[in-house]
Amino acid sequence: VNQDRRDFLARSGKLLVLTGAAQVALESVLRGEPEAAPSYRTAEHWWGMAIDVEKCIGCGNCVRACKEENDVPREPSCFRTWVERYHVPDGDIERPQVDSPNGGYDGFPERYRAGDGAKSFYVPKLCNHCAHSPCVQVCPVGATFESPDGVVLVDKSYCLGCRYCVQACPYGCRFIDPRTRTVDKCTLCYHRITKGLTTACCEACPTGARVLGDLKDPKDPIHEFLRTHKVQVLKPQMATGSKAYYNGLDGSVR
Amino acid sequence: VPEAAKGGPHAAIRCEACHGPLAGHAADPAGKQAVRPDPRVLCARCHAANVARPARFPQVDVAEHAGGEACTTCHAAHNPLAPPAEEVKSKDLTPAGPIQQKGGTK
Repeated sequence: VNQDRRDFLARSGKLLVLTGAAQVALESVLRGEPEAAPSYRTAEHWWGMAIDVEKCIGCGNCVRACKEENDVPREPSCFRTWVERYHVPDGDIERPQVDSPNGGYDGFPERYRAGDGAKSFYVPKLCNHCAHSPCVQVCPVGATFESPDGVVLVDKSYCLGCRYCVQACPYGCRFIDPRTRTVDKCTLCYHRITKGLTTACCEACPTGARVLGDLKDPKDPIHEFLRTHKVQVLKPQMATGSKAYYNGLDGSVR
Repeated sequence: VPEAAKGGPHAAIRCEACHGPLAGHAADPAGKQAVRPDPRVLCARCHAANVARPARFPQVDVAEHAGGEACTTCHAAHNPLAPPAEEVKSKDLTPAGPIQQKGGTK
């Protein structure tokens, strides 16, 4: 048997510490199938995100981190998350000027002057992970679905690339991946959150303007945020059951 | 390095926000060092004056404020209200790395 004493002790030590369910959990995570791990139960989570518009500084860290983490094509038509800059003339919330150069990937060159009688601010956007998703309802082959823990996902082996869902999403959160010709979207970093990590965008945000929250975990700080802030979701009139809660959202934001 | 940020305004920012992905460094802290980004690009991403940024967020007109000088000549990167440590000053601050290839805000 080709096994030295150190190796043997390390192995048996692991077995002693991680017995039963924990051992199976570790193995599932190492195999890359955390959803099969007994320690992560989809029924025990309900994911959402708290976004504080007043904290966003438009640095683009979230956009770069997301593209890096999820291997999103670098083309300026492919974003799982992006940042928009709003410029709203005094009192005219019906006609905001909105720009998002390369989704904010390279930051925002200054375009406006202080004191021009308008207000400017940044709005980070991503999939709202709706509880009643319009995009899921229109998929003809059932490739996209809401997971039991509240994440809208796509099974790319079923996706035909018909683009119905791209049209149906009221928030413009879906795009066709030019490499696979199937739809792609934010997965809320499902590979990370099922291992107890936060999303790449939240990890990289320097001001805490976006924070992932588990709405089923009573100890999650998102409950404190929702209690102490006046929050709004995007396009509430569409009753999508969005779980991206914005603080300080201006009426001009669409 | 994490101790250097304690008590400063950058204390709550996670390492990867500025240094990029660090999984390799976490697995092998001595062997894989974190990328040291160019402060003239990195700092400006957040702190270059921009009307759309929240007014209370610290911002400067980079050209006027620094005149091409690296921010880290006067500020410690991990705690910018303090001056930099002497051993940092003498180091070359502009190595090649993935984070500074893309343009900054200016």
